[in-house]
Amino acid sequence: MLVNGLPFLSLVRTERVCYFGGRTGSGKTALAFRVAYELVRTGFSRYLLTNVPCVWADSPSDVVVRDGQYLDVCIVLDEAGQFLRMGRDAEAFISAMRKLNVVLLLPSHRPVPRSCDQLRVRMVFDFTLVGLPVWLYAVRYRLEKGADKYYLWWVRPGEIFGVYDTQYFATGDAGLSDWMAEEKARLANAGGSYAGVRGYRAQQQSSMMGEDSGAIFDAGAERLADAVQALEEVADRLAEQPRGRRRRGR
Amino acid sequence: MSEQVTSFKAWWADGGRIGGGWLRGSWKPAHLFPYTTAERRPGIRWWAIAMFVLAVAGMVWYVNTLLGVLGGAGRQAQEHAAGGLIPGLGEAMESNPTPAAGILWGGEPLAVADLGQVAERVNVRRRSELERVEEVVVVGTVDNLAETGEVEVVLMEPDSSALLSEPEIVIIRLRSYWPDDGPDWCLQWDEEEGRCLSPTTAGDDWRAGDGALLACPPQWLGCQLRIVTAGLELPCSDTGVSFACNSRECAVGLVSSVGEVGGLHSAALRCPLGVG
Repeated sequence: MLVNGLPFLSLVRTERVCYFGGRTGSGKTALAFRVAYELVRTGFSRYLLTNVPCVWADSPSDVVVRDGQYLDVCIVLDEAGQFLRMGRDAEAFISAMRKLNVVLLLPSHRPVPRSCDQLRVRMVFDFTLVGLPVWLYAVRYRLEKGADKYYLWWVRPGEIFGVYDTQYFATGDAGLSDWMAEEKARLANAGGSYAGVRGYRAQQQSSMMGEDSGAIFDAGAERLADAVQALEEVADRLAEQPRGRRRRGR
Repeated sequence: MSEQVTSFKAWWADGGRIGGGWLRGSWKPAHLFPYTTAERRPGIRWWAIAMFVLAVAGMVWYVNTLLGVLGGAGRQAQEHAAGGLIPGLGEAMESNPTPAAGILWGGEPLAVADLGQVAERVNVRRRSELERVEEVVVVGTVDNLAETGEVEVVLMEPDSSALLSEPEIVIIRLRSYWPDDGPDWCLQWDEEEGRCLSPTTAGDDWRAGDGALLACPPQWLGCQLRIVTAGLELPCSDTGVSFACNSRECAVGLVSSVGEVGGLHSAALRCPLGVG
C-alpha cells in the first residue's frame, strides 16, 4: 500500500518519466513495478514492457496501437543508467511520450541523463531494520528553480515480491529503444500532416561542405550539447548541497 | 472485436492481486508470483521489533540512570556531586549520625567514609594511593545536620586529647587470610605439624585475634582502620608481602578463619602520632 501515493502517481502520469535512484537493494525496481501495477491496473497503460523477467511483461510485438496513435505502454527499464548515459541515449524514449501515451520508469543505481531526472524517487529509510514492513521514499520533482519534495510510504513492500525476478541482472534495454524509435517514426504523422497555409515543404539540407561534413558537425554538436547538459547536472547537484553544515574556522 | 488479453489482464483474471494484510506472504500462489526468492522476508519481524525496543530501553536507561540527562538517578548524583553531597548520605547520617567524608573524582562520588563521632578535619595530604583522587571534602556533621537540616562543610580542630593522627581517607582492597592456611601466609612455618609458629608483626597472637586484627602495608603498622562499609574498626597488627599499596589502592587483610570479607572499600586511617 502506497501512503501519499496519489500525488506521486499523478506526477508520474503527467511527467511520464521517473527516475528511481539510490543504492543497490534499496527497492528501486520494486517501487517501479509497484507504480507500473497502478498504471496498468487503472487502465492508464495497457501494456508493460520491461527488460527484466516479469509476470506482467508483454512483448513489444503484442502492442496494438489504440485509435491509430496511442501505444498505452508503461516501460520499466531496470538499471537504465547503464545504457542511458547521455541525453541522446534517452531521446528515443522521452520525446513524444504524451502523444504516444508512454510512461518510462527508470530504476537505476547509476544516474540517468538529466532529461530523465525531472522526477526522482529514492529510498530514505528501510523500516524493516526495526521490524516494520515499511519503506520510506523521498520524491523530488525538479522545477525551474528549486524542487518540490515530499515523502512516500510503502507499507508492506513484500507485496511486489514474486512479480519480477530480483536476481536478474539487466545489461541492456532488450531492444526497447529500437522498438520505440520505430514506433515513433511510424506514428509520427498518425494525426495527419499539417500542410499550413502555403503547404508543407520539406526543409532542404544546405551545406557548403557536403553531406558527410554536415553529419560530422551534427555529431559534434550533439556531444557538445551532452557535455553542457552534464555540466548543468553537476552544477545542479552542487547547488543542492546543504549549506548549513559548513564548519566555521576558528 | 474481442479485447486483447495482455499479460497483466491474464494475471488479473487468474486472481492475481497486489496488496493484502500485514502477515507473511505465504498466501501468494506460486503461479501468480513465480519469482519469489527466499532472501525476501516480507511481513512483521517481531524479533527485530523486540531488539529495537530493548535497544531503545537500554539507551534510555543508560542516559537516565547513568548520565542523568532525563532527570534520573544520574541527575541526582550530578546535583549532589556539584553540591558536595553524596547520594544516600543524608539517609545514612540520619540512621547513623556521624560525620562523613566523600571522595569526588571528576565530579562523581567515588567513596564515602565515616569519620567517627567527632567532627574532624580531613587530611588532604596526598599519598601515593590517593594520587588519582581529585578532591576530598567533608560534606556534613551531625550537629549542623540536626539543627538546620542542611549539610555544609564544617572544619574543626582535631581533638588534641586523642593520640591518633587526623583521619586519612584511603582506598583499600580488603581480603581475609589465615596464617595456618600455609607458608605463604606465615613467616615461620612448621612443616611437620603444618601450622604457623610466628606471631603477628606487632607480636600479637593472631589466633586470639580471629576477626579482630588487620594486616596492612608496613607503614600503617599500629594504625587504626575504620571501614564503614564492612562494619570494621580494627588495628593494623600484621604485615606481609601481599599487603602493599599500588597507585590506586592498598591491600589489607583481615585475620579470619572463615574468610567472609572482600571487596574495594574506602576507609579512614588514623595512626598514632608520629606513625604513618
